[in-house]
Amino acid sequence: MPQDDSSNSMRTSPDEATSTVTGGTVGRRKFITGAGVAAGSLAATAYLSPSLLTGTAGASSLPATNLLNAPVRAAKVTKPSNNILVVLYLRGGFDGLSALAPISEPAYYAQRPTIAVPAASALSINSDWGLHPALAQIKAMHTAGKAAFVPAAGASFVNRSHFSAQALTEIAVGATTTFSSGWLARYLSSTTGTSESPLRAFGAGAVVPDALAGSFAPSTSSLAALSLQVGGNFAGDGASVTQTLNRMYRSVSNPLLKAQALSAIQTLNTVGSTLATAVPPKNLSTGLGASLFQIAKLINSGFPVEVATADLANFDFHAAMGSATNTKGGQYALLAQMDAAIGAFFGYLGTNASRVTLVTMSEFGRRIAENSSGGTDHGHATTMMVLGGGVNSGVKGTWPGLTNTIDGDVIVANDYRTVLAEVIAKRMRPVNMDTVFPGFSVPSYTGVMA
Amino acid sequence: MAGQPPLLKFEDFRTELDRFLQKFGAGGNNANNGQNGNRYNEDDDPYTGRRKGHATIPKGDFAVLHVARRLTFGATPSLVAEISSKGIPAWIDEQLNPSSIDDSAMDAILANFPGIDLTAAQLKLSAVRGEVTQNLAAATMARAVWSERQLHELMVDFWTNHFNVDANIGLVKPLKPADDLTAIRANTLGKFADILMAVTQSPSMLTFLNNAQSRADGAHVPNENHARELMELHTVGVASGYTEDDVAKVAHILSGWTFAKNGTFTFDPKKHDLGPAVDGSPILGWNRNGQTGVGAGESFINHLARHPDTANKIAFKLCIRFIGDYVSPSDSIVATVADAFLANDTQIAPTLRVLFQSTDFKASAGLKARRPFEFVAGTLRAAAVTFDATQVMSFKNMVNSRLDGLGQPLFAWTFPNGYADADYKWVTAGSLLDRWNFARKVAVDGLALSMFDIEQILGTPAPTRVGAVIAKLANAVLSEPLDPAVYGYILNATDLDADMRWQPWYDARPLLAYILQSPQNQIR
Repeated sequence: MPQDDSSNSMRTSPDEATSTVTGGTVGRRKFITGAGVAAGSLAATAYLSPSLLTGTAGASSLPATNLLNAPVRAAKVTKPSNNILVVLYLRGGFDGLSALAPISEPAYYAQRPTIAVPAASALSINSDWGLHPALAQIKAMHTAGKAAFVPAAGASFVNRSHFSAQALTEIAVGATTTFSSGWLARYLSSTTGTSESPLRAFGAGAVVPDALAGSFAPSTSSLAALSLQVGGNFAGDGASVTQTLNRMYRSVSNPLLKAQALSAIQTLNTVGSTLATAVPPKNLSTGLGASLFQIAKLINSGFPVEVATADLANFDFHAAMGSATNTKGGQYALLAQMDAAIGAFFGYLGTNASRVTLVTMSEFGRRIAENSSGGTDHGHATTMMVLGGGVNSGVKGTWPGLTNTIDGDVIVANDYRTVLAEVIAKRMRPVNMDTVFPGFSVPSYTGVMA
Repeated sequence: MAGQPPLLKFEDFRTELDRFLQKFGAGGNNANNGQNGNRYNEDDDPYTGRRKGHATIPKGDFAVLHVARRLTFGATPSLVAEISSKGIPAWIDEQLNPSSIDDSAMDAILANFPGIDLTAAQLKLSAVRGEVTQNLAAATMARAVWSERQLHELMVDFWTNHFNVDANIGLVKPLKPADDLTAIRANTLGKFADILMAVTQSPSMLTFLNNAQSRADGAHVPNENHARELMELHTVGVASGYTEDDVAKVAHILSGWTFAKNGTFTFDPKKHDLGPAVDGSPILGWNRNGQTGVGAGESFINHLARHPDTANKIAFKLCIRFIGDYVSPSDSIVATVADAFLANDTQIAPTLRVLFQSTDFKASAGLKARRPFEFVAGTLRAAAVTFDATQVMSFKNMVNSRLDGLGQPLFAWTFPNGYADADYKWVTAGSLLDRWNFARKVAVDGLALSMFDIEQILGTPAPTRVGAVIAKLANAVLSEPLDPAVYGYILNATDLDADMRWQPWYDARPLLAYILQSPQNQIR
């Protein structure tokens, strides 16, 4: 959906952070005001200002300063109407055959004597497919017409290495090891307007995912980190601190450092103190839930987030997946955690939920046959899920079956990029898809989007 | 070079960066270019000594500073002086022979972190069992900050990541301290072949990669996790051309590799079967030659350790670590280091010596940013924080919570590949905000650990002028003068002039905060 840049009054202009900076003495902020504080008594003064995000007071009874009072534009936020893509990367090799079980295939039960989802326990999608019993929220979304599934999805190249397969599917330029930026970074950069919020994209994790590599989206495990600690009895006001940091990093010759620092400062100026205290609801306080909560909070606060990423790891069940009906089994517990977080995420989004489409992907699926440890080894195709706004519910794409395999693995019949491209084409800003997925000619869509 | 994992190459990033920076009016790749009124007026710069009565700090020996930054967890003025006086080659030789360096003060500090030297069997009976990973993380940070064997500690971190296990997993947790001590630390600057064998037989790795429970007897299909990572991550890499059949064979060869209740490696012949490997066809150039049982696996691992693709992989990773990752290390330096690795029968110290003598290394100054672990350790070193045994709990909590927030909690990476050694992963907008907050906290309250003494940094007699105070603090913290432009911005923030008298009631902590927040403190 095309965005009208002028409608977004919240955005901070690129130079706003420096517009009040002057090179000389005019406009200097008081920096050292601690008259009467002896140099020898410096040690124990608590200095934390109230967190700008949570509003909780620090230990200091001293007057706190809000570094962001000048640039904040939050009061004038126009509610954004853009659609939002959330990419949830399920790391470790997501077992599509557990999540969405091919309940009509004898080979499934023959090769997975202890871990298959029994047809009777599966949450029925249709006569051929059933969801894992742990996926009740996703089943409810399907019932509401908001969940599509693409089994036999993945990268067409066979690569059973977690690390190169993850990098390759996030860089998304095929099997080549030649560098490119991540696919989301390319989408962002090729659809960028003259002025964008730094929070157009957000990575909910301390480490930037490869999909966003080459972008300047802030990635953090906690939105509370998007504030700067200042205050105490000596400091200049916050604007002086941000201004000084801004100037310091503008003069850096290392462009990565410079660019990310400027993005950080612009993020500070944008976020300001507008993120109200919010107690995470059930299932959104830890793990994936906490990540999705950060995203939901930004969206509900009116920031024009358009792309967000989150991760859930530990799907690498080489051993002890547990039976599909054992709620304490490893696979069951992890799927249940994912399901509960996703359900709570869309619930917390409220009326914004219709703007949000969440796509899951993984580096590969798992072998059809279980191993001697009650687990499964690295396979090929996995199952992608497309949930939320604009989704055309049901099981989509081509299914090659479990007898036509490669090395005992499900064949990839649906390139993961086809699914991602369809979501982008139907929901996001217009973009030349060849820029996002170079060298990939998108075949006909699988129909995950309405 | 072919077959390496995809690496974000700086050249390809440049257009994107330029565009971004232009958008911000911050210029392209050039340093401060005077846009936006940010130009610093050098004529007013006491730092350059153009006006009388101000401190002028001589430029340090840049080569020494580079070595002090890159081969340790952070330069300090005393370290720079030590390297200068010993000479770079002699100092490197000493660091490559860590037992020659007295580290008794460090040993005393380590006594504050119980459990880190206990075996799994001992830990089982110990009250610290539950917190041993946190203790190990804090001890590792303490070593990074206070050990005299700095290069050794850097290489411990390198191997810990190369052979990563997630020690927050319940079963791995009690096994990791012994792995750290006897597999990794004991072999850190020894032979790669030895560290590979020790780690492959280490109960923590056997547990993490599921080999301990793998069995190939009867109808059992062995778990191939460890076999795959042994070749992919620990040695030759995927591009060496092994097949899925090879993975299955190696999984059979390693079947029965497990450990006893007392936490020592054992081979269980009842769980072992050579399976398809019985045919004796070569795997990556290795011939079984009739060997069976544990001997077959040990022979294969010794072969892998000395495989040319392993040499290339280790050389490549060492170059990424010590030279840089913006631009892929040149094929020639990787080949040179790999040759040294093979020529010295996988001995690590002489391999590193060749790397450190190279032009590529010498020319790489300033090209690598600190990761969170290095940033926190380096900042504590720069701030001359001393260890306070009465504040161990605070230190431990700080290490674990700060590194968690910055995305690099020690011994807690979930995947067997270890933390990424690439700037673009760590130098992010969110991470910088966290780093600035950390720097400010260190400067302002020393992390509430009462471990930090700003007056000691200022010295006696303390500088009398504002400009000189900034310069002295900066030199102590950065081991080199502040970038003149940055100096000017900090001075500007004080609302004071450089030649004004430093009054006794002035507070130097915010100055220190700015210095710790500066770009120079991000560089490794």
